[in-house]
Amino acid sequence: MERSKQIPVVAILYQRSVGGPSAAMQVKVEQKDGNIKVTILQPLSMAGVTSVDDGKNWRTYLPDQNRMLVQQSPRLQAQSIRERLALAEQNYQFTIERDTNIAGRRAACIAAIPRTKDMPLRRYYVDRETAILLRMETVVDNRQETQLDTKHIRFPKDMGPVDFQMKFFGEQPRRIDCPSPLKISSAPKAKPNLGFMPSIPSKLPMGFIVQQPQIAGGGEFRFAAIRLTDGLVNGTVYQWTGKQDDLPRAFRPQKGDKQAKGVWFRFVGDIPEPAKGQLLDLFVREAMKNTRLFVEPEQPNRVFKGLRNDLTGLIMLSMQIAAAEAQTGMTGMCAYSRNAKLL
Amino acid sequence: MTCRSVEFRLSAYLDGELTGAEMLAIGRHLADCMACSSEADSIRRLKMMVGLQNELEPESGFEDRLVAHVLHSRQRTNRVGWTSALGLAGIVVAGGALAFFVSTWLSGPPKATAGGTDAGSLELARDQMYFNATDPLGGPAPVVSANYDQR
Repeated sequence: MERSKQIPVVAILYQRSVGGPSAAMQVKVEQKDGNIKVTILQPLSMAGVTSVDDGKNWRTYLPDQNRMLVQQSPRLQAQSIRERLALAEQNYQFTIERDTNIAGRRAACIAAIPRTKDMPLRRYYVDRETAILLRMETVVDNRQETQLDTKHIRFPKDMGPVDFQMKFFGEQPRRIDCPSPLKISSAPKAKPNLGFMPSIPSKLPMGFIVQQPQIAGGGEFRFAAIRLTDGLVNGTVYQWTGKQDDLPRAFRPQKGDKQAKGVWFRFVGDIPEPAKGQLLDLFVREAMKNTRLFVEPEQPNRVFKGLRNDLTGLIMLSMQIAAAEAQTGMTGMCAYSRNAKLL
Repeated sequence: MTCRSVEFRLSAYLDGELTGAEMLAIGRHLADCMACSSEADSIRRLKMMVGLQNELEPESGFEDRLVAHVLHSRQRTNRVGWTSALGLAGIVVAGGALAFFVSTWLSGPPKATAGGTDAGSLELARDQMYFNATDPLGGPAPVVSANYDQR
């Protein structure tokens, strides 16, 4: 299923959004010799946005703002496929289902059944000849949702370099060089860059692991991006601080965001809402622990042990007093004291 | 169904774009109304004639000329809009209108909107695109948020 970047491809894809409202978008993908060009066709508000990745640089042209964002190619920081697959095998059971036909191509269907009930079933439809991913579905509460679908795909023999040039409307766009995310070696070391210590829990539920904590953004606004994965699904827990009015629009509080000690938390990823909430709660709890505001209650075993000892002693004393009363004919502590020859 | 209501829907009827109930109702009306039936025939013939025309291939440079023309028209519209605003301000009653005119003149022509997104709003979307592009198990194109303004 790894992206086969060397095969010449022209495709029209339908994709569901991640990180925004549930809406679909159509993109055109052109690929050859390691070059990938993606042009957004729909929705209208994003039509014309074009990105070209040549394996070294990644350029994104935003026609409405007349800007060209340039940064290092993400493929230079590609995740390890072996680690991902090993983790996926732990968290999912894979089965082969019936082949189907997608955009005129014969596709093999691989179903990934999660070992945890909180995650949805996923189906990957992979082109039999080229291993290109043609469709991806999730099944949540018996409801099938298509996340990615190929409407049209062809493999042209002739695709010259001119196909990967960008066309600009009007004047030359303003170039903006964007920094790539920086890796965080430890949470305390990230504090000078971020202004706060990011929360990075050591253990996550549902088979997720912290893949890579990073500092992203640039200029005046930086934020923590804690990358998570369960082998198949990727997610990011964003953490940032700032006064609400000063924050960029995308970072102003939204439904689902959480806050602890002035730090905002948001999970962006393709998992059901209850699972997102579960993960975010863990990050918030970790943040509260770090600030020592959250006091863990005393271990119940120690409390009960003390109480048990006290009760045992009381019972023993009662029995001794009863025995002394029987022997001496006196009552209470007088009998006990006489019997113990204390008086 | 009256002739007036059929008149507005004839083209859609001939293209099969109406609901089943509407199609049946219009079909019944055309069977009884000579005038509307004749009109429908005319439209049908026109559509056929247009459909038989050859497809024209635009000559090279057409797209660039079209974009340049649109951009030029947009600048002209802005100038015309500005002129209309001044003219309108001149018509309004003296005291307040004059003050409006003077203040507007001194502040210069209206600035074009910035496009509605600041640099920080792009960061989240760009980060998501970047991160998803590092995924070796992802599809051919990185998935991004569709609602640009909310990012």
